[in-house]
Amino acid sequence: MIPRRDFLRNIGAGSLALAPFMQHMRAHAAGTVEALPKRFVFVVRGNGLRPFGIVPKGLEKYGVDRFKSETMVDEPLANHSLDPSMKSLEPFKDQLTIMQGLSSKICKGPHGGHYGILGSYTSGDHAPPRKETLDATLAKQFPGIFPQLAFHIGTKPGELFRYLNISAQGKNTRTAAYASAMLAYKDIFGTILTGDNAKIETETDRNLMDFLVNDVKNAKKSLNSEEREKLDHYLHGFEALRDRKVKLTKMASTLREHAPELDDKYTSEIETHRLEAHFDLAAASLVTGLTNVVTIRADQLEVRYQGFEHERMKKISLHEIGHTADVEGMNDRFESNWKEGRLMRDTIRTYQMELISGLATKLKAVPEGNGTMLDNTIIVFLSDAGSQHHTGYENMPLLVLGNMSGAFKTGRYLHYPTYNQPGHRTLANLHMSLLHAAGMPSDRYGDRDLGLGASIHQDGPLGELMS
Amino acid sequence: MKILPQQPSRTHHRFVGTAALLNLLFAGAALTSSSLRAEEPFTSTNPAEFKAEIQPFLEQRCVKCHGEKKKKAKFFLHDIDGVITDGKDVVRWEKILEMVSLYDMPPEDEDQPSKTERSKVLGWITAELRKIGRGQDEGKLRLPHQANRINHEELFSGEHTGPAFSPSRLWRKSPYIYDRFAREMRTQVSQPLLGLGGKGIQDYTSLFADESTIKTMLRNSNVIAENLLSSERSHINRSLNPLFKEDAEINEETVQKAMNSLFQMIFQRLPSEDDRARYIDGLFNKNRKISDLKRAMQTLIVSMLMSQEFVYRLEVGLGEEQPDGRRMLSPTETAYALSFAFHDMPDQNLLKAASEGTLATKKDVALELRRILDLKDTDKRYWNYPMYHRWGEDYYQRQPRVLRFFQEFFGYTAVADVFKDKKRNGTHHANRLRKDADMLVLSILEKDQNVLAELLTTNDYPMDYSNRDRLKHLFEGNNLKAKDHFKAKYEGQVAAIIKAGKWPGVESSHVSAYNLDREQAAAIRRGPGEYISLPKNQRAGMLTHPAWLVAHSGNFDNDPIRRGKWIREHLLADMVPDVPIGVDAKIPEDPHRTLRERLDVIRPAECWRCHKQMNPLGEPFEAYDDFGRYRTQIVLGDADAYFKEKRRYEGQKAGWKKELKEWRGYDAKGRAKKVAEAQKKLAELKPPAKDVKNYTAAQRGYEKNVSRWTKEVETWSKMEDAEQHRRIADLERRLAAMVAPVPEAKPVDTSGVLSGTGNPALDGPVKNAIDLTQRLAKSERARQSFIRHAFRYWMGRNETFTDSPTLIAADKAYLENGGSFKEMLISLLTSDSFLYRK
Repeated sequence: MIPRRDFLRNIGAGSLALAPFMQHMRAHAAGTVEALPKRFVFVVRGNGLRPFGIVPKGLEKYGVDRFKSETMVDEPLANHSLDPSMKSLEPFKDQLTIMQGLSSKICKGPHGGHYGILGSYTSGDHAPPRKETLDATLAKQFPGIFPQLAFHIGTKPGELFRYLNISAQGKNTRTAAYASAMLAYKDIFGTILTGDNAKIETETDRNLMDFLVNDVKNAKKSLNSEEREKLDHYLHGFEALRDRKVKLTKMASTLREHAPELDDKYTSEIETHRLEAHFDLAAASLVTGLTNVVTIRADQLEVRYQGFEHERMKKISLHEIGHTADVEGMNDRFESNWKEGRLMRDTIRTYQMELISGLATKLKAVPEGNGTMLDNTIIVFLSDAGSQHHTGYENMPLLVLGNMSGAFKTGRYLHYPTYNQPGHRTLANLHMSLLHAAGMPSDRYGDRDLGLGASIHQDGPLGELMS
Repeated sequence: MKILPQQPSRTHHRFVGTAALLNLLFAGAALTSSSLRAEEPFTSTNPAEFKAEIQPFLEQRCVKCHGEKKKKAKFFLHDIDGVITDGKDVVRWEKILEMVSLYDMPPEDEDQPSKTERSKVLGWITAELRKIGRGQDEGKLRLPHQANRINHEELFSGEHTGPAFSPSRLWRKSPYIYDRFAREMRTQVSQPLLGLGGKGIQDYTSLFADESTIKTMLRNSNVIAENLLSSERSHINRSLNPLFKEDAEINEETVQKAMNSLFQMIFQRLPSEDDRARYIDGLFNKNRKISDLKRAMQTLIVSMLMSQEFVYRLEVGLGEEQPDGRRMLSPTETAYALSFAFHDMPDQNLLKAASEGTLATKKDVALELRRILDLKDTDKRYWNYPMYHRWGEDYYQRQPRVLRFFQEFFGYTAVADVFKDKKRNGTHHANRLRKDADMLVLSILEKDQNVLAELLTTNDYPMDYSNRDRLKHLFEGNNLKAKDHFKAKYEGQVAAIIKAGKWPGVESSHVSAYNLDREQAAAIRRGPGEYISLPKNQRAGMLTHPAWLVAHSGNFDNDPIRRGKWIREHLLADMVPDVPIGVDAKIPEDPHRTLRERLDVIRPAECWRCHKQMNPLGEPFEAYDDFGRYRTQIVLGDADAYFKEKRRYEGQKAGWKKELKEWRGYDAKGRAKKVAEAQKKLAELKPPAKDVKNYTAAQRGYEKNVSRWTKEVETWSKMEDAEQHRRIADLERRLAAMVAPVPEAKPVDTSGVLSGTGNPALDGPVKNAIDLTQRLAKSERARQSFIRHAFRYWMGRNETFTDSPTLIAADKAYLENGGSFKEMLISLLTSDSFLYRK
């Protein structure tokens, strides 16, 4: 892979035609660390991130369900080896933070907190989002040609888009995510696909967009303000598409260089293939600077994993896996076998960790500033259902990979005191930490948990995480 | 081809902001519309204003209980910061706003503020909170379940006389309409338009299309356009074919012709001069210069499929202006509005009536409505509504939206969304229960008398059945998609399935949800239109129907709180405040206590204040388990183990009984018969031919059979009477020794309280769910609440006080026609609320 600085310098010949964004990027390539873009990747899984699967060797006692800790636990990861399912992340151990004990009880819903997970606000089943979520906020701060890219594992063959129920661009505006990897490829790297027809298609599409923009503008004239607002949403959609297309055409050569190889996993009906394609697309989009914020819905309760060599997993959905016992020696009310339950969970988790590790490896391979792209990236991995399938949001186990040029002290296992114990903190505090790392210091974020006593600090970033 | 009047012209600009007016109607509080708000400069709260106008209210009506001394519900106001915009006390102010606007506070037994006093205070708090972006969420207030904020007594009091109207509006088309269109185009698309979500009404005018919608739609539109232009699909695009012939002449006329047909197909009208200029000159000709015909044509089609006219239904009111400023819908607008009231596609008869000028008055509308709603005998076949309704629903149903109203009102279609572990009850079949509920609605609609009361009290339940004719129809009928699906799924078994008249392995076991066993279930195979009268002390109407009960239950248990909330909101026109943020709404696990007992956690006053509106209404339904099965006792402890043991016990008992019966028959004569049977079998056995596939296995099988039947002959011929007697005695002893498993159980407590009907004769303690639903069926409030929901569904918006006359008239029409849903609907759809815009 060529150093990012070089390729940015070399994109050259038609540099007059560079999109403003690329000029911006070039300045960064030459410039100081502060001027480098900051990238954020959120990987959200369903079914809970089980504590026993993320605690390092030697710290197993913290992996017990409902472990009550009265004090803060802060252990360097260097002294421990990671859980076998996290083996792929060993090379990144110094950049990794494993966290437990943060609560998010403003979230509702038995299987997931919806927009509350990334937005720290109460959001009910099926209700439209009340405000934007953290990923969208960051995307607005560090916009690429695609302000934010989102992927959804998809649950039906042939599915193109899915609305994410964890991410919102604003009030009532859910983030649309690509379910089809092929469609995503076409939209993101499509300009390099078309040959001679490219110019014609671009031209005719532009005429179409102009037409539609005018169509809506005309219609708006005859309406009252409230109805006009509806058409505004429609209009903005067309305008955004139109502008993006122009910019992508201008940077076709760069895209050609970094686009992932198009193979049959882009059209595969097997979820795991699709997910791999999503991660490849995410990596390529980050490396080319097309976007700085990616949200990946890495699985969903309806998913039936066909890609693993495990007969039972092919038959039952993730939801049913969630109902299979997994606590050592304990069979649940349905007499499921806990060993099988644990095996199925381990398989999925290991796979997801590998994907994250793969993404980190790719970012680490591209030099940037005095280090690599990974140094200016943070990957957050958590479940919208906290620590288990039916969740109470008292513990939101999660991983943070990356230190954002030293903004975070990494390489540690942090276990916060249990809900309402002195020193307890919430997921919102992590969101504030991310905002601080993004250079958008904010000491209030989201709804406050009124169930927490006055002595619990709900404001400000996590002191233990910040350098 | 008739030229239809044009859809609303684009130069129409007569509309005043009605948003403010609409908002005014919420609980009397004056809200400003968002667009106005944006223009207002920020000013912080005027402390003098607070002192003069608001503080006296708080001191007089709140501080007595919520002050320094009492702090009821740990809520106090003696030190509240009156400068709302400082943000310090926002949470407390929002609480006050919610409580006072829902008439929850001051408490019933205290002196109540006058309407003006209440609305003055609410208006002030709302306005101040709005300045800092807090307070009630406007988007939320537009949701259907918020409409009960409008005081019911006042709405039906007759003091508001209208004139009623709906605002001029765009109504985003429903997912069903889009789907239907795509199906007409023979294209599979991914759905870009979503409903409101959750249970309840889905299609509402507050919905809009945004960037995410556009992305998906653009993709779909391109696929549709490609299909239309591909040579294989000539049956849906015949008019485009001439353009693509080899020697085709492409001139203004041929393009014009193609465009006309596309317009008819997509917008059901012919293009106007203005349209021609925009589409042909503005787009098609431009693209034609740089691309080939196909590409230019494709872009043209996509532009139509993406236009706001295609995505939105325009209901601006293009008729004559009335002296009071309202305008009636134009005949074309009316035709569309009526079409989409019943179908997911435009009704050609209505469009024709509009073009012929016979859809201009209320009388015309009523005539058309009767044409649509009067069922012919041949349509009275609700039982033909297919089990696999996703396909071909409209073959059987003339007005899918009517049934959909009942589905969304009762929310029973969610039965399939509630995850139930199969290991707990293998006979639970959500889709079958849903279909049963659909049939219950349709059977009552067919009679169209006392519709709501019947829905709440009937014990005649239609149930899903399968018989030869139905299955034959499914496998051999003209519903291609269903046919392909099932033929693939049951490959090689089709003939056997049809012959048996039932699905393999199904046995209608889902009827266990009605406490019926298989023998009783066999009755429902008698034929179409049959129903089973269930015991009157067990079932009464939809609220005791397993589909409704399961739809409003949790994964492992009943949900009396949500059931109570449903009744409160749907039949008592009331509202329950949202769960306060931060409340841990969890019921403690304890296998030795009943759900009702465990719900003691919410009996403390601060919880009970709201929960008393829900739990006493939902708890009578504890007479059913979470699969909807009637019960008289609640099994505690390890209930699943008990039921497992019980099944084992019953199976064993039945098995031994069967065996006993057989042995009683094995006297000398019976044994001789057995010998003869075995000998016959032996005689029939033939060794396999040498060249047969798997010879060794076949040979082994043959030998095994020979030895088996030889042994049988030997055993039975040697046996004596003593052996028979020994066996009988043994089985009798074993049966007598059987002990039925005894569960840890408590009798069900089905008591509850009905409150809020506004009728002292109905309010009060209820014995059980049957008592409750029968009282609800007699309640005027329940009837009117039902009609309010129908209003929301068909108007696509929440009712306001100006709609008062519409609602009163609908209620009257329903009553005067013996509880006819049809007459009620005709009244709603000929009302000013439906036909007038302002």
